[in-house]
Amino acid sequence: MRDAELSPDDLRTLCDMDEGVLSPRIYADEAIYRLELDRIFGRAWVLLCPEQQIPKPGDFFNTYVGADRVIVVRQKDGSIKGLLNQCRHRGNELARPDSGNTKMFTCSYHGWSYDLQGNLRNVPHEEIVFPNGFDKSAWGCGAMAQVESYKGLVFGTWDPTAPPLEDYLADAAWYLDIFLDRFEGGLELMGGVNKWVIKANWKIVAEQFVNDMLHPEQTHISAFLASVPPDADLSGMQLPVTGRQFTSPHGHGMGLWTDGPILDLTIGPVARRYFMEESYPAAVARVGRARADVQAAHMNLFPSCVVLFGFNHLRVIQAVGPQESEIWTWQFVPAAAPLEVKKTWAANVQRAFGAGGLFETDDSAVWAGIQRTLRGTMGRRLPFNVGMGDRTNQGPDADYPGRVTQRAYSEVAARGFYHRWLEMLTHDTWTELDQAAKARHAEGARQ
Amino acid sequence: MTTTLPTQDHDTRDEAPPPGMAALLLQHQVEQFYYAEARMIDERDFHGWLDLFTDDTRYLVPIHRNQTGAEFTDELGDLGLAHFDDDKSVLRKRVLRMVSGLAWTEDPPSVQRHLVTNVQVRTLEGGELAADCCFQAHRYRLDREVEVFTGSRSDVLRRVGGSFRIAARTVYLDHTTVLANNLNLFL
Repeated sequence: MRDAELSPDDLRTLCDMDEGVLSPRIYADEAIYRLELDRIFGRAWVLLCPEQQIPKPGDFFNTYVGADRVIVVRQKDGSIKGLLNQCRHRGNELARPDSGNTKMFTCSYHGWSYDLQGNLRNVPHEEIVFPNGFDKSAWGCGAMAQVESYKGLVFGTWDPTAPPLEDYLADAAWYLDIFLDRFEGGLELMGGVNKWVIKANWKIVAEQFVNDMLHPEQTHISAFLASVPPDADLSGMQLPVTGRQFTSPHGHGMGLWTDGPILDLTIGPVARRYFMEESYPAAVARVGRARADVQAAHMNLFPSCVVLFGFNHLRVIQAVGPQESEIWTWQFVPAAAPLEVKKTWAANVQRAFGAGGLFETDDSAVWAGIQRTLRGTMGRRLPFNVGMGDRTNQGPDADYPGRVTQRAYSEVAARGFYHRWLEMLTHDTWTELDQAAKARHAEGARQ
Repeated sequence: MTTTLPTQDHDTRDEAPPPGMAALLLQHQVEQFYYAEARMIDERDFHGWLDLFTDDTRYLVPIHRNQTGAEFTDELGDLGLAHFDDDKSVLRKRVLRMVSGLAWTEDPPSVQRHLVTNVQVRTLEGGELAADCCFQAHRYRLDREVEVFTGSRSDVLRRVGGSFRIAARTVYLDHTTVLANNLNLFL
């Protein structure tokens, strides 16, 4: 049910990406958030976890989809299911740990037990409490309609009519493969998940990863200055200029750099040498030169799955409330790399982008700072500008497929993200969503 | 009957105090060291704080998990992941960033109170000390951002001059999900 106070026309006045203006209300209003839970997190493909988080049958991982708790569980046949973490009797949570291994999920209230597929298998004293019989098969726990893996990343959707995951990832898959396919031997998960709270709406975080190569020189200046060697000559140093921004009609987006000092200052020279020199020839053979040349890049897969390329860093933004999110991150390393490379790479990424990261912490100050301005009336009234970069589709790029700009600095990907956001709130079917996306990406169309 | 204190007939300054008294003195010295350290952080003497660590130090903050019974582990080890796993050069970077005047998280500076308690000390073979404590750190930022960090610490302290240096520190944060925008503070 759509909120009676928010008609499609109302929503269109909040988000006009043809003009590049956006109402701050979308980051603060409870009604808009409830609508997002229903129409975005209730329908879209959402990252659940990496497969390596749950390698063995019975392994489970407790996550969120929107504000719902979901148990991602490895089945006996190796497939994966997403179960709503809620007992069908009175709603108590079925799994409380962050992760674990089990044969059954048994409710701690009256003992109803569910198998790994979510089927209700046991009701204590069934003959006594249901003297007229009880059809347990009708009372399995809630399950995600579709769960699929893409090259080791597990996604799920509640919507049985959602397109297959590969169609949903669409033109972003070629870019996602820079992360997932670049290394001979694949990726190895380091440890588990790292979680922290951000007192900001989930879109404030997501749009930075879909779009924002511009903020580092301002937001992260202290981290850059602290990271350069004490005797470094800063006069010739500049942030990278060579790059692209990519926007998908499905709302995914990314920015990439192919030059600049960013890797030395973040992952350090040991990991940078392995990445851009030692593993480079194999990478060219695997994914081609254009993708092997990508040094540092950010990506958001609509709505909330984030990848930082060059850092082997994966995260999901948990939309736990209108004005509060959680960031959950996973750190990978190339499985075939020497141990010293793995250790330094992962530790340096954590130092840059963990909860205490030299870079991350200043992002957190900005994100919470935006949210603080949205308490009042005027703070939610004056529209925000999302107008940077080329407004018309410039046509194909020689090296990078899909719609790309010739610079990493643009906001076309943010406009693509918010176009898709609006479309998911206002369109009822995936056919309509596809038509809207195609029209938006026609040659010469504005975005 | 009047009692008189025994008179000292020789200089005792170079002698070890009785065993019980030595432990008391050590406890006092370590506690005073921790209070001084906490005060350095709270008064933002970050370079002074950095000097309390040995050059070969390791500063580790593992990630804590909600797990059932025997499955409980802190994520440690060579291929584990930690909030912080820093040597002194990384700690120095963090200090340089903090004092740069450009770290927006700390501009204007937060007000922090580090409380240290439950201190227990024992001497290791080789003369270094193993010192455990509990801590609570309050961070008050801007107009209404209040965050509390609690946990325990296990240090290896090395005697240097008349005081100590921290040769290793592991901070066991209670949080599994960090209930703060960031861990941009020293614990």
